[in-house]
Amino acid sequence: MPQCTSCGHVQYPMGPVCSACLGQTLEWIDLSGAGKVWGYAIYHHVFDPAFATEVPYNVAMIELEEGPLLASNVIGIAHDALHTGLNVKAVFESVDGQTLLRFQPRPDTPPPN
Amino acid sequence: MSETGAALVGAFATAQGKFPGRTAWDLGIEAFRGALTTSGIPRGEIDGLITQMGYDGSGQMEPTRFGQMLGLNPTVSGALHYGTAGFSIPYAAGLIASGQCSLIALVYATNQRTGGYTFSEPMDPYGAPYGYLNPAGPAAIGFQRYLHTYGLEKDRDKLAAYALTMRENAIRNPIAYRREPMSLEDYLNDRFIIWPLRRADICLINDGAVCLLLASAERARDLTDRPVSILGIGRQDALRMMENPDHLMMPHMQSSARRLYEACGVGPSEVDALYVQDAHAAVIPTTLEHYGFCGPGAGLDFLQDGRIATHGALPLNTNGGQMSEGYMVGWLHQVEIFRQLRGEAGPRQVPRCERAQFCATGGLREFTAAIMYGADNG
Repeated sequence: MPQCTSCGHVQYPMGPVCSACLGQTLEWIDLSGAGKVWGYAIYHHVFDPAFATEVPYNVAMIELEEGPLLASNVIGIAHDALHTGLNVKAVFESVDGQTLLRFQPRPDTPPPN
Repeated sequence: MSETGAALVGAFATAQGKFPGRTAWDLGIEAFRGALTTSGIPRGEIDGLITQMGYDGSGQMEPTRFGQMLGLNPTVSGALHYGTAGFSIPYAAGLIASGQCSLIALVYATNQRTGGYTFSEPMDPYGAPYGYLNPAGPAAIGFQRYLHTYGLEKDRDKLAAYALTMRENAIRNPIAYRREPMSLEDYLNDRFIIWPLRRADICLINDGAVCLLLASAERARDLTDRPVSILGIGRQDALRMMENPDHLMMPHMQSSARRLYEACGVGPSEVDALYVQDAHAAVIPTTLEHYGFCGPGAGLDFLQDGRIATHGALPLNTNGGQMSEGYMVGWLHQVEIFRQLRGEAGPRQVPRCERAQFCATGGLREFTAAIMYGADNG
């Protein structure tokens, strides 16, 4: 994601300037991919035919370690095990020739000795 | 009544339902004519036109074309980019306060049901591939977070009290679309559209129209014997959205609340009836809390035990709301407020109704607004 070189804000959604300080220099940085589930919902209704075979599916707001929140799907976990606070990490999946950013559960890192 | 203020002097709603063969223009003209007829105000007195354009992309209700159909040359005409009732009325009040207009017609009309509109757009710029569609999506995520925040996950079904009360209210409302009795069992058997929201927690999609007439305080007394005054307005936009902490919990409502109560000198304990634009039941407990009708996390309990019924401690959406009366993005609530404060609500009348408050949010929670109305005591 783009990061402001003036104030360090990680800009999401992407924009032409830093929304925190109006800084005009943003550099693309690699994020850790780590985050947690802020909130989620389970779609049962098909709002678009593209998702006819996907329901029920979850949409979660993921709070990334670096600050931004973004909407995505959490895979590799049953819907009734999803919860706010679940630690997740980014995983890139190829879907219909496109790369999608999804998230999967990340085991808690034990504290250092 | 403040001499720099504004007051409703007319209000009309068409029936709500499915009306094949009728355009939004058609319905809007019916509402406009109805407002003129019921108020007795001649068309020639109107010097402002504000419309709300629908979401269906049809372009109907664009103010220039609609105004042309109505034969108007208003001093000022326009439509907001997000012009639901809670935002268009403050816009109109501003035109009146600055002296640009003295009598404004506000019109919303839609044939979205007949047109087959389903509100299935993506809910953020990158949400489409993940299926993040329809405004019930952010509402559902916000409600899940709310339940988690206050340890209420096991109380999710307490939300039923809202839909059930709304249906009871709609049964007493002749223009309401859905008037079949609904039991708790019906609610609990209703499927989840986007968990944790059931279909019964989500507004209808229907055709219909509303027209309001808003006048300067000075003109209002000449136009009707019982104007309904705007006592104050509160607003807060939150355009940074998900970059704001807890955006989907709508903390910015508290800024609208503070501005509203300071502007009108009326507090929650003096409100006789509350109206909340209810696209989803999820917004109700949060609105009650942020506007100070109950404490944080107490909103779900507040809905229980008849507290929000027409003869309860805080009548809420006596018209039946948008799950039962019809989905007119807050416009029908204004018509009901107009009737209630003039003592014209018949079987839905709240006794001694003198102060009514309306609260609204934008679909992505990017805008909040609140309006306090007062009955004219002569």
